[in-house]
Amino acid sequence: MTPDGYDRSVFINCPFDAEYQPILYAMVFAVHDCGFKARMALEVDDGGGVRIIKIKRIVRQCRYGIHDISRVQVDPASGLPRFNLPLELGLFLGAQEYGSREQRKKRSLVLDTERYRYQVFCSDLAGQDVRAHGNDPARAVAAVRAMLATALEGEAQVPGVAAILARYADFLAELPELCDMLHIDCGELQFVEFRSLIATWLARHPLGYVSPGPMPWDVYSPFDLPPFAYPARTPGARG
Amino acid sequence: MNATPWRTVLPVDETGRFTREQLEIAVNEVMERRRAYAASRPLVARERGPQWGAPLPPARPAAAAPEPEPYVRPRRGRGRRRPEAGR
Repeated sequence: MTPDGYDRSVFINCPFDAEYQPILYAMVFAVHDCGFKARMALEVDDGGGVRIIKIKRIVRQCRYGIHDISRVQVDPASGLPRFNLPLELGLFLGAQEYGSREQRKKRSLVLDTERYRYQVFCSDLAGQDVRAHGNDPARAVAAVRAMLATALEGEAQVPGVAAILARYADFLAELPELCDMLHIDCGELQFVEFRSLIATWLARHPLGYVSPGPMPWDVYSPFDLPPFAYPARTPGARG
Repeated sequence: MNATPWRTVLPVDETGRFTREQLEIAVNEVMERRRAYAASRPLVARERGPQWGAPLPPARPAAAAPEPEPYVRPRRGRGRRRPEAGR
């Protein structure tokens, strides 16, 4: 049985560190601007239940996956690399290989900073669609857009990269005002809140909406946003 | 106690604390505020962004025009006659 929204759900499996945030924000927006819904492990950071079970549930509910394996360096605190990203990529590929007929329709996009670097540390990925983003959010958006343009057996109609980036810049310009209206600091936004905000914003700004342009009080450039709040790791944060 | 009804776009556990109404009100209000501000500005300013239309720097006084020189009639050589005068 196909989970509700399976064909339109995209599992984003990527780092959560502050340096990666601009790419993550941009990809979440691009997924929604293309008419899909972003799903992440951050949805389940509520402290209850077994995390891996919740992640497996999300993987099962998503037909498409975006996996960024660019963080292969060791954690300075522990001296060890983190393996959550390859683990979740493996879960996704396993579901695609051994799952039901619907699960075998899964499609993945693998991202790294450089195109062929994965051959050094994860050579078994050969044959997957691996693209480089060079730590550039615009290139990550272009890769996401390219994958979703061929989604749904070519039936998906998605905007061009320039249109997505222009709308993303408009959204980010409005974000501080939106947060003011919601009585929340931008740095307190959790992933689920950010995603809901994007979905609502896109509904009121359909493709073709003519933006009034930048305002004198706009403060954010697209790439200097504070990171998402992490309720499981930030004491006192809402969640 | 949160008395706001949970009528949400997404399931409650995915939307955080904001209701659909809260999000829509915020998005609409911000959109209207920006459109109203833009509409209050001249069309050209709207098209060219917020920096366009800033006060121009004070104009420098124009340099004084040079005094015109008097016209000097060219002198004709003494005893020369105009050729069309004939004999």
